[in-house]
Amino acid sequence: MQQNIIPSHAGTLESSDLFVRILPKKEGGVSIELESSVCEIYADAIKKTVLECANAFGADGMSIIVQDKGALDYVIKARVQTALLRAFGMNELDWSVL
Amino acid sequence: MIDQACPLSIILANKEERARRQKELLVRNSGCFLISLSINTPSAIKLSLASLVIYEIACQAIDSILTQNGFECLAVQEQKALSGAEKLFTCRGDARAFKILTCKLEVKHPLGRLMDIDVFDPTGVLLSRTDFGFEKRRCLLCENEAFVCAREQKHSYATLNASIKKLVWQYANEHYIALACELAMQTEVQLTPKPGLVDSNNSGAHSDMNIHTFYASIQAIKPFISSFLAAEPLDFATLRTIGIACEKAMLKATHGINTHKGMIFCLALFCGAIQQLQKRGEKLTCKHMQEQIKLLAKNLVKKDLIDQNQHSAGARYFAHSGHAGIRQYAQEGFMIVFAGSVPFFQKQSQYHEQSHALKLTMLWLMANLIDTTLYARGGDAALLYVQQKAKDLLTCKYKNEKELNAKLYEFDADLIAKNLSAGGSADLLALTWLASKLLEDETKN
Repeated sequence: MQQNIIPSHAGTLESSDLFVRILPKKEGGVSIELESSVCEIYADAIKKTVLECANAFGADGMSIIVQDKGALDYVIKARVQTALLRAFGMNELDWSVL
Repeated sequence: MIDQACPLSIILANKEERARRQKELLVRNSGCFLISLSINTPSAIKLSLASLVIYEIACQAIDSILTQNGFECLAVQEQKALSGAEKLFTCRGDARAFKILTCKLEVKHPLGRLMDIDVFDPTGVLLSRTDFGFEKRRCLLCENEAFVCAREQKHSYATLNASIKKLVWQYANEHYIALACELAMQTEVQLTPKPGLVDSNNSGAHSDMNIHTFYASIQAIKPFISSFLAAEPLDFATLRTIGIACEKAMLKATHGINTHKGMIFCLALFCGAIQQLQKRGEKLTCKHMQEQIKLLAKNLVKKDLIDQNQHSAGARYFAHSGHAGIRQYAQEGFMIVFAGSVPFFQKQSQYHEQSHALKLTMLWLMANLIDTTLYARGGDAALLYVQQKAKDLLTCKYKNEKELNAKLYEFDADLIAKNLSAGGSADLLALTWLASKLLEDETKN
């Protein structure tokens, strides 16, 4: 799918939150960069959550950079979804996608 | 707003908005550093009595660190909302030196663990406690790192909040109670519409005061709460002496208008009873409070109204009818509140939003109370009229708060035209809210 990706971000660096940035990249696919205060234990779980969100949007050709400050799963989902909406220039959420 | 769950979307949007304001302040005030204070509040309830007490104590602590160490604070931005209490301080000085001082505060202060004090240096970098050799924060309940327990959701919100409440109650007891008293009076005056009474829409049947007179009065009364709680020897005479001083402060703040005379009387006895129960290590329940107030106000009617010639509205009504108004209610240990309006309010709160439940409770009080302030304005006829009208309104069924409001607005216009105001009901409404917040909290733990 050809997508026009706007560099975007969502969230903050406060504890229990996360800062998500999305950047377009020329190669296809989705790459995830993660930095987390609970990395040793949760890196895989967080990456999985982020990837699931990206797949639900049919995302392609983007880097998702996540700085996690110990956020809970539903916060991670909410922030990544918001960043994706902003990256696609969408205002309305298509709930069926999620 | 207190004790209401905040939706996740609002919590998250508020954090982004705060980050935006932080950036804006740093850009606008070149060379300054920024302090961002918020309170640790597990669960969706971000604004509670406990969190507000911690917030106020944190603000005071930050202010004293700033002044004692020669930092210059240029501006503050405060926000109290469903998403919690927070404050941004724009300051001049060495951000790193300040961060070290707040880390010490967070470690040493008994409530420091519950304060989130973020410091941004002038370039916008968030300073981290680990950069200064302080270890990562520990969990509130166990020895693990806080991050880990939070992420695992190892402890239930109920357990965490109970332990927070206990900590605050223990280390900031007077502060907690004083804040509850302040919020009780605020909640009462802000409740709108209230027939004949001052609210945020109008001044009711009063030409000499408005909601701002009440705000000024509340601020004047608040410092006396700790005096009531420390009354020594603890008896009615001591409480009355403090009450008279409190009344003077109120009159000074309102330029001679009586906004809370009855309320001060109620608060004095309420706080006296709390002091007594706490000294004895007894639980703060409605039943215990009622017993203690009964003891404190023993023989009050005889002493005040029979042995002495008083000239208050209450005294005139007593001479006329034999009911001693607020003194009689006090002598009964405010049974009408502890065994009447409090259970009524708690029951209504199960079905309705707080404001809706409070309005019904106000009608309940108007219907059941012998309010001598009504007698003072319009004699027996006025008292009976308001009681009957409130009873009628209470038996009506309302689909929602809007329908109830429509009836209350009509009643408001009616009482304004008749120049009637049920001030006694307003005082006991505030007391009802206070009792249900403070006493309910205790029984839950």
